[in-house]
Amino acid sequence: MAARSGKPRRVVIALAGNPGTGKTTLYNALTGAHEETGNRPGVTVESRERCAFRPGGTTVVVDLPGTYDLGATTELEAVACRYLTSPNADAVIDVVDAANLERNLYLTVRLLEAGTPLVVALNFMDRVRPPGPGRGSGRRVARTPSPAALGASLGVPVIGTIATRGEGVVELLAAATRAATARRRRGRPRHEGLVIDYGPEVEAALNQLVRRLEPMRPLGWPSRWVAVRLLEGDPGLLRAVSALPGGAEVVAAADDAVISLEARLGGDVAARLAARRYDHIRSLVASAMERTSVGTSRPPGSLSGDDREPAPSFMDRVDQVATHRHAGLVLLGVVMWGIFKLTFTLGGPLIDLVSHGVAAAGVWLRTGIAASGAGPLVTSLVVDGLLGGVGSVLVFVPPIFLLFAALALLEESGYVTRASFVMDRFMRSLGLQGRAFVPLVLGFGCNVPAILAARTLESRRDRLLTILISPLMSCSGRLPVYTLFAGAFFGASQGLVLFSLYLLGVVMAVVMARLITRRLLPGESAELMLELTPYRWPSPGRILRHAWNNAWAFIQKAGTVIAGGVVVMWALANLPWGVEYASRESVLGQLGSAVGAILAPAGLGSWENGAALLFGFWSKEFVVAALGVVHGAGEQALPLLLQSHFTPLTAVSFMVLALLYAPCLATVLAIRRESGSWKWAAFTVGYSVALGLALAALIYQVGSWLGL
Amino acid sequence: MRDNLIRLSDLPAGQAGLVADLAGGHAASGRLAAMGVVPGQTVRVLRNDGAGPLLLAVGGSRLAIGRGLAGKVLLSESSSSAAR
Repeated sequence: MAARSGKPRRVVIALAGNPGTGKTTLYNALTGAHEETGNRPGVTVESRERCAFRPGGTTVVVDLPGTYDLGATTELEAVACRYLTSPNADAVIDVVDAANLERNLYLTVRLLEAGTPLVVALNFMDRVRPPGPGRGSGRRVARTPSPAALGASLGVPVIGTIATRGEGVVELLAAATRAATARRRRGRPRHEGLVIDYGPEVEAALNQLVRRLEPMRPLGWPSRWVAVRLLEGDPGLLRAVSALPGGAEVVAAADDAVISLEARLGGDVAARLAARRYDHIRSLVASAMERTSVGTSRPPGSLSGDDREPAPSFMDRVDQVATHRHAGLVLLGVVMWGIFKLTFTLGGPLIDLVSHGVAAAGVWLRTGIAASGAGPLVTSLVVDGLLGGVGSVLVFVPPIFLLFAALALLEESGYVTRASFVMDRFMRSLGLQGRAFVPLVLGFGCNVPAILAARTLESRRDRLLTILISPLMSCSGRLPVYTLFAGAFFGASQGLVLFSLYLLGVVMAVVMARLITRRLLPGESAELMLELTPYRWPSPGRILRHAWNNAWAFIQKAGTVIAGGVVVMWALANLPWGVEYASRESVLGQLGSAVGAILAPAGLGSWENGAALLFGFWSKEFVVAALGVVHGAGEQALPLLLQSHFTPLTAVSFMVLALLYAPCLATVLAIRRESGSWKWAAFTVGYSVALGLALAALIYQVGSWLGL
Repeated sequence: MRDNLIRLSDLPAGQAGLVADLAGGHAASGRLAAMGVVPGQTVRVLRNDGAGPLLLAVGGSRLAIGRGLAGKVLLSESSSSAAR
């Protein structure tokens, strides 16, 4: 390539494609980023960009959420569609799954019709290369698409890639940069797109619309593309066109054309157009296939093996069980139980290990500070406050690491889409659909990503309902509270107590979903529509990285949010000046007493409980640190100390309250952001506090009456 | 509904059929089309329990779709196991 002068130094290319085609893996390979990837739709919840440096300039690469089409059905797809239908990018890399060409090329053809400057990355070449299919991919592809031949028939550069190994990445970046640079030179507006022959009747209608649209130069798009979208009845485009001068008549003409076409073609117009598009794609693919035939030869035109009976693949055999209406649910139950067991059985001993480390650090610090001649006040802040508070939270790094590793395993393997399938019926009974199961499961890790993951749902109602109930999923931040109390009070049966708390959260989510559906958000959930992702051997590296990222975030949180909170609490416990540390008369004591008064019916009326739970709103794991501060105890002494302040009954009451009583601040802010209003954030806080108080009080009162 | 067309939701597991039309209006047909369910395409039912969602083989992919949506996919000619 020549081009020295006049070559723009900075160009923008966007990564588009169906969910699960490896866009983010490619993004990481192109830019050196370390973004999370996964084997389910919706891992990428927002667009992001990063520079890829090349000789002579910079290429900005934009990673977008996956989409099947340019007309969005979910909030997430809308992010991608908005970007792709605006002139932001100089060129678009369309990432295509080589093992599922036809379906993937649908978006490609859509983008080409819109005149998008395109480079195709034919990814997962390892899955289609002879002699055999990629291990564990579960797909058999007898013929290999040739990038060069596909490029020739599409009329755009096609680069074969294996994103996971970085193969073809350099060539891809070069080709995309060339396309973007050429685009820059020619100027922005897009006028010409790919022309597909839609048949005489449709073509006549399209030509009429194009004649009307041409003088309007609608929104910088090819007129023919706009005409096609109008015939399809794309609501966004209908709105945009009718807002243009003279646009209302064009929209009316399009409506008339649709009615007469429907009568003449005898069926849905959008479906006919799509069928012609697939015809076009089949002919493209047929000419792009290399004749390296493995297995039986098939007649031309039948491509993906759907119209002959393929031998059941590994994927289909596993799915016989995993998607069975009974066996699938049993399997799901076993998997969830396995995650729970892994987290606690393996995590428990590790907690003790870290705990010893923290205790040793405490001894060392105390002697160190004493030797430096600091007063008792500073010693108490550093050792009891900071180390005790932060340490009491840090000891939970091992189970949190394991929990996130297990959740990553669930995602990476591709199993999670099966879980959505088998849960669909049950979720519909709650007014939700199977896809809402994924955000709720993510909620066991942390409620904030759960709320973000609700973007993968189609209807606003479903999204909102999922957001409102996901804080009831017991997140990893609540785990320290349970472990502390269950360990101190229920020794042998602590596993059962822990499991019951998780279950209680789920049951409450079910109850609240039913209530909200009935009272606030009536209506039906959108229909399930989900591609089952191919099973994949989970990569240990990716799982460990995912778990470590989350554990590290937790450690950082302990060092900042928790440490900061401890200092604030410690200060409040020493104010007004001269008051006895952590006494009822301190500011902290007074705040705690006020809250404690509300907690009295639940048997938790002390100011210490009030203060701990009040500060737990800051973050749930902080409850443990806060208990340490108010009782003036470090992490090791705390369990013993709690036994003198709680009975087993009030311990249960406390745990139930900690589970339910109000999502943490970060979750509330996420609800506000994702629902678009404070109203729903306030509603969630309100209902959860009421639910927590009512249930804790019920448990305490009934328990006392029974003489527990 | 037109003669001799059957709903996808009525097709038992193990059978395949040729899509004739989509009857769900813009939103539904757009989504189905983007997933490869278009007139002229053969779809094979892998699971249909009479209630709850269906599992389909469409092209190279496995597609889970809700029963209501499956009712909007109209099929001509169905055959057991294979379409050939």
